Amino acid sequence: MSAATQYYIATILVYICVNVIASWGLDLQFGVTGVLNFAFIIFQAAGAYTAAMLSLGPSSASGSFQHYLIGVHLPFPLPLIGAMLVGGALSALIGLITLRRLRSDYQAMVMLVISVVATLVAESVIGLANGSAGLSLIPNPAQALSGFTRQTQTWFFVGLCVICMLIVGAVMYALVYSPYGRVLRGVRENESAVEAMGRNATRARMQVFVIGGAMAALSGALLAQFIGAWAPSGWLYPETFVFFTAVIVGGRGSVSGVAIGAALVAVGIQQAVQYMPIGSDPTLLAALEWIITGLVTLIFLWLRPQGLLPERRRRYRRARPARLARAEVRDPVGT
Amino acid sequence: MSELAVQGLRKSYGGVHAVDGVSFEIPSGSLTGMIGPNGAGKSTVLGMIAGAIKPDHGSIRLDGHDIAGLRSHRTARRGVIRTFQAASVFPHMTVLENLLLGTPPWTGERIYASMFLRGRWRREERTQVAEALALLERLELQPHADTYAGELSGGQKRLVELGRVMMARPSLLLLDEPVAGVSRTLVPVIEEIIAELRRSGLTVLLVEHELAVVERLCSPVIVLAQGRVLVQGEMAEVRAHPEVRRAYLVG
Repeated sequence: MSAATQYYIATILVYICVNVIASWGLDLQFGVTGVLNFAFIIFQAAGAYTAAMLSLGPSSASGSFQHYLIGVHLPFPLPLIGAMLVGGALSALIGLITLRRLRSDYQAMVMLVISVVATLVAESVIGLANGSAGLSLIPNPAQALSGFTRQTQTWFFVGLCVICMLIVGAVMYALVYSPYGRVLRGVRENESAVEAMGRNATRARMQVFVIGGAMAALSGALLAQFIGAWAPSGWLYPETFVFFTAVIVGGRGSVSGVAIGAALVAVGIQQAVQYMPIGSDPTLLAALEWIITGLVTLIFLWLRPQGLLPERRRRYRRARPARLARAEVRDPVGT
Repeated sequence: MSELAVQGLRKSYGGVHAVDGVSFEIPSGSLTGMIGPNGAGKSTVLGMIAGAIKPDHGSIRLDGHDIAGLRSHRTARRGVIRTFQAASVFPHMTVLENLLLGTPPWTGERIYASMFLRGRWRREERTQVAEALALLERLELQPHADTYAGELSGGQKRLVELGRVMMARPSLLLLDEPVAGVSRTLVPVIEEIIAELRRSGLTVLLVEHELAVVERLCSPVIVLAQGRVLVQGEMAEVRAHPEVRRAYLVG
């Protein structure tokens, strides 16, 4: 296989892992618990910037051609962990402001505003993360491994992404298919009823907001390390809707479904557009990608709102029929 | 089991006094009825006891402890469990799961338990499932155990809601118009369940618009009108009260 093909395949795999991780984060928030987080993309961005700041080293070391906060050079996996912590902390902060007092439709509006404001701040406060030019030369942890070819290093990074995806997937399964997940779905289905049964709906929403935010941050960190660059133009507020489309197409609340949705929507549509016989004008391609994403969302909401792989109906193990039959014999009138 | 004492409860919305100084007591183990015309403030009183509505004024004492102003999940944790005026189920969850969400909050619902104590919560859940299935059988809902609650009829949803609150083992049960929107055939079934709950020693407050239901089930009875207690006592006394006849019973 040629180097170019290998790199292409590796890129697709990294993008799939990154988008699956992020879509799971949104699935936990929106699909399972019903939190309309229209600011989702900023948590991915926060993770990307944090990973960059924790691995780039001081800005003066590279001749101060870019400006940013912190600027330390931490070894793997600390930048990834730091990114998740910052993503979770930022979620907690925004959650405290939005999730407690506001009704869910207003929460959604506030999130959207926060997303736009975050982009403006990142663009105009140069010292934060180098403004609209963004950060570049973000080190890839796999490239620190000496004695390997560039190709092998790329495959190492693919492996890291796959491992991260599997871990996040395991966490998703544990959370969603458990009594905890049942409470989360209860919050989505009927908030006042779940509160009336003694469960704190606000706390549940806060928790998934923080966990989902950390997942988004992890995805951003991996993506930034792979591309080596990260700028505000890559995380404008509409990007959030790519993840919403992934969740809707895959199946709200379904873990495996959303993984498929993420691969199809976030990676599939983008790749499909590249192969369409419409030339290679980047503006046209980007526009077409958005049009297709929007249409796919609408088509699914109209024709298959439950998604490709709908949320599984939970069934519980019960006493074996034989035992039930015995009980009937003992108690034939069923008192 | 528990007794409730409400003192000087007030709530206004804008300039309207929805509840204007209501005081009453619910004796332990009684099935107290609360009736009154539309807009009398019945549901607001129930909402305030349940913690869904924050009172402007007054105290709500449950076995001597003031629970006024506690949020609804905290009130529920003290054993005050309510139903809703419109049957309130988790529509895209199975009937069995609806009942499982009725259990008092337990450690299996914590994040760390879901991640690390799978074996333990599975065992405990199995007991809960058995309990829920037994309850469903009693409610004649067992064939629907795996049906999504949203697919049931209005009356069946009521039964699911009742099953859910029974799972919670409340000490004070607040029922908000439990037979509203229920088909005629199911009304006696639901009334029998309520009567049975009362016989088991549970304290119940039943808010109802229909006088007949209250008459069949409740003693004592509190009559609310325009945000105040008009009269309280046994049904016979209440019926004899001239203001009640004027405000409510006539027509």
